[in-house]
Amino acid sequence: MMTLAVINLSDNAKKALFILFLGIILLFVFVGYVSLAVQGAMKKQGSKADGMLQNVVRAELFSNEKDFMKFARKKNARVFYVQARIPFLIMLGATIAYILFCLFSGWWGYNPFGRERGFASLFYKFGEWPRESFFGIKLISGWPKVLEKPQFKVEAIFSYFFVPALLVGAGWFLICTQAFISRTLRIRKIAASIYRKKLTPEEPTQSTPTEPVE
Amino acid sequence: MLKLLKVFARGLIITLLLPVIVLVWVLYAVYCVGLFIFMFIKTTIEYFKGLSFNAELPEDVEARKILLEKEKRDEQAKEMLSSMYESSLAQQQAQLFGESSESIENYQEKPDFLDEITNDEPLEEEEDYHDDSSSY
Repeated sequence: MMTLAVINLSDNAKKALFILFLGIILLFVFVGYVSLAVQGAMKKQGSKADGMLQNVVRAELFSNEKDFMKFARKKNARVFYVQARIPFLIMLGATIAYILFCLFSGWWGYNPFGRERGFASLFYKFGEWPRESFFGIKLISGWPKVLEKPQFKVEAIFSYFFVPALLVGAGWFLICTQAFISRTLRIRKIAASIYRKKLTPEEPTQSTPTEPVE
Repeated sequence: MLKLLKVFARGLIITLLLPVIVLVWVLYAVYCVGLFIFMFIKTTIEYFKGLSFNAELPEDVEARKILLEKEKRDEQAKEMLSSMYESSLAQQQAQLFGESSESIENYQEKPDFLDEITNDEPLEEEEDYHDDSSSY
């Protein structure tokens, strides 16, 4: 015989469960909107491929897909190189400055991200998060204790310039990489639309007006 | 509500696929670092050979030449067509009036029948319909 287990939840537990559920839904919705924004940005980045291949396509310079793709890849690499020069120079400059700093200060094991003499000295240091058992699962139940407050340290001054420069350079370089991926995808689409012949007629899209039947 | 549900589903799928997406992105970033270094070495060699770096490739220059030639040809064809049209129009006019095209132009510039009309007596003045004094 089946037995039904009845779970009696207290008001606080119900509230906590509802908040948890709502939080998860909001998180997924947020991620969905972020992905939509990223997709829009990638479309915009990919549209640059149209501009860079416009003349070649209009002049009908290539008769097959292979040659066109070869040219498009070359062109894409050149555009990427032009775009990524500045972030690469920023990162290179920061790295050279780090090596020179180590050379002159003699701190060869220097960690610019650390708390002692690094960038992390500008942030709070927290203790462990307090946890309580909730139906067998240990959940966070409060705020952690503050162990250290942010403070400006003279010996960490190099890291205050080095770390932001490195992060800006790396972020910028990643955006250039994303643009490179977007253009690559767009090039594939363009090549397919120009050189691959379809035997079946394309289905009319929703935006095209339908002709009245006589 | 349906739109929000779609966004929620999209968010769920993206969250599940996030490790794969990030992995692909990082792999591309590593490839791009290699590509950048390769391009840097290539352009440095080109620089020392006396060639200036340009995002344009020889194919771009060729394409631009072809397009310019096409444009020129189009313009020439347009000019030819317009001159042909004008000459055919003049011929048609000549056939119509039984005269040469030059005389037709003169005829059009100063037509005689216009002089006859202008030398006629002046037209009668129009009645003023807004005159209140007129009796009904």
